[in-house]
Amino acid sequence: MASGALLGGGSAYAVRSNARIVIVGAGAAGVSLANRLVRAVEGARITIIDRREEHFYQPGLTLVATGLWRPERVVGHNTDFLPRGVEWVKARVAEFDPEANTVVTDDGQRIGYDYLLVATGLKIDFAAIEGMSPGLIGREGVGCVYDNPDHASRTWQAISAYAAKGGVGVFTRAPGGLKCAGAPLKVAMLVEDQMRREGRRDSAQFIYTAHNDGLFSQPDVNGFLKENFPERGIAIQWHHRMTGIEPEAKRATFATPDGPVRIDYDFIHVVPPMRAPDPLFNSPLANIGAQTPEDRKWLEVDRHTLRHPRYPNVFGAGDCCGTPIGKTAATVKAHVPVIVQNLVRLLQERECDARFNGYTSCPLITVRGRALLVEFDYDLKMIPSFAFIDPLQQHWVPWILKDRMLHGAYNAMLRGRI
Amino acid sequence: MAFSLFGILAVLLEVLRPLLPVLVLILVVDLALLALAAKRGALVKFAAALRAAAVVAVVVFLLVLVAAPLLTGATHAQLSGALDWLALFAAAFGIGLASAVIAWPPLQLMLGRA
Repeated sequence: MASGALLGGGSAYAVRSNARIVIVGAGAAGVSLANRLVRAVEGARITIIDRREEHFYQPGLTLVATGLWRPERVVGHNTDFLPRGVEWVKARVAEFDPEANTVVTDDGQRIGYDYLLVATGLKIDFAAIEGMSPGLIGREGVGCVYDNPDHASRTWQAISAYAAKGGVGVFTRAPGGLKCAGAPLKVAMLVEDQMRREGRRDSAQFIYTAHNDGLFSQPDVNGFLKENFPERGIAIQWHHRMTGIEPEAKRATFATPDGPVRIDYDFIHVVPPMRAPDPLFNSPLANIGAQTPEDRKWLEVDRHTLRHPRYPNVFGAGDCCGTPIGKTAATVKAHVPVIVQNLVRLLQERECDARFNGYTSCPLITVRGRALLVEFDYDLKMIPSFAFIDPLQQHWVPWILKDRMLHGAYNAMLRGRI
Repeated sequence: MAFSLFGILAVLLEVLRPLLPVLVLILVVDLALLALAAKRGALVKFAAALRAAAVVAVVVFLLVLVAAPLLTGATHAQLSGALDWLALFAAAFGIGLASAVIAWPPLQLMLGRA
């Protein structure tokens, strides 16, 4: 048995094939898929398409944005993780043509495939908020933890300035599918904790604007937060969806059931809506027949097999998928083995039998030094990996996991070892 | 989400990867010292070296108990329930034991020559 397969927990070379397998995106899902596929399929031509050479450990961005980590700690390089035997096309996919089993890159290459694995990640839709742009982050009291270490660093600059002066801090949350939906909550709680530790809590007013009547999709955690936020003096404004920002006036506009509401702020954490990147969003692979506008924003996949229902040689992994919950690295860890097993089954002309249960996880940091380790599935049922950790008790151990261990777990996932 | 034994080892390998060169260096130096001690006949004072290594283990154990929460940005007051305290004691025990293993070859060499 090959050592790779041994560590991966699977069999060496599950199948031989000369199929052309194209992976779009070299983020967490794409790199992890590449590593597992080179061990699972012998003889296939595997291509990964992405221009980015840097690899961002995105679960660490919350810690960068709140000053707990330095930005260098979340920056790696895809060359350190991509396996030999995979062709890396350094370009961006500009067009998906699933009828012709082809993708077209922004430098004009047409790349055909027998099987397509879509792992593009998602787009932070700054333009969906009037007046907002990435250039504002770090200026005029504007922060946004998402997308890259630069945004997170500039958010930390804005948070530092706010923590020193105090005033009104507004922490927003867009509707719809979000990358790490716990991040807006974590930023609010960590800034509140920082000001409390520095003895300046009384100088600040905290407002969290929820897009609906909940704070978290999992009901038990939602109940915990609905008690915890008021106890900490974080006021919650329900049914507030941010629609605009006037950075010079430091004023944000929200759509509410009672009409538009303007809130003046000294610091605002902006969480824009998110959707599939444009080439995917505008392609036939998107869920164009979906009933709701939210569902139409994402790649259409069967929620269990992660296979495209209309293009059966296409699978989706990671944030771009239109599954009901879970745009986290933990979800990627659960997606990738399912896709690889189902693809291997297809190569063997057998039925796809691996099923994704909706697993997602969030080490929800409540203060520096303590966190909840929350894990749940499509049914919003808690499915803890470690039975001895109560997911509704704030503990030091989940904090240690987040601060010291999960980056290692993430790298092991990239290498296809877990 | 279940983790296999190999999965846990893979995660530990990744966590320790930045330290691997240092750990390999320590291992090589310790093995060299042990070989040197054997060559000089210093292994006869095995029990004394073991006792000295045990003292190192206890000192490191106590240091880790005191310092680990602070080094992780937390405080002892933030430790909550049996889970956190058991984890702290287990970490202190493990690091203390590892320190004793690392310290034993040079101690063996020093005490064997005395």
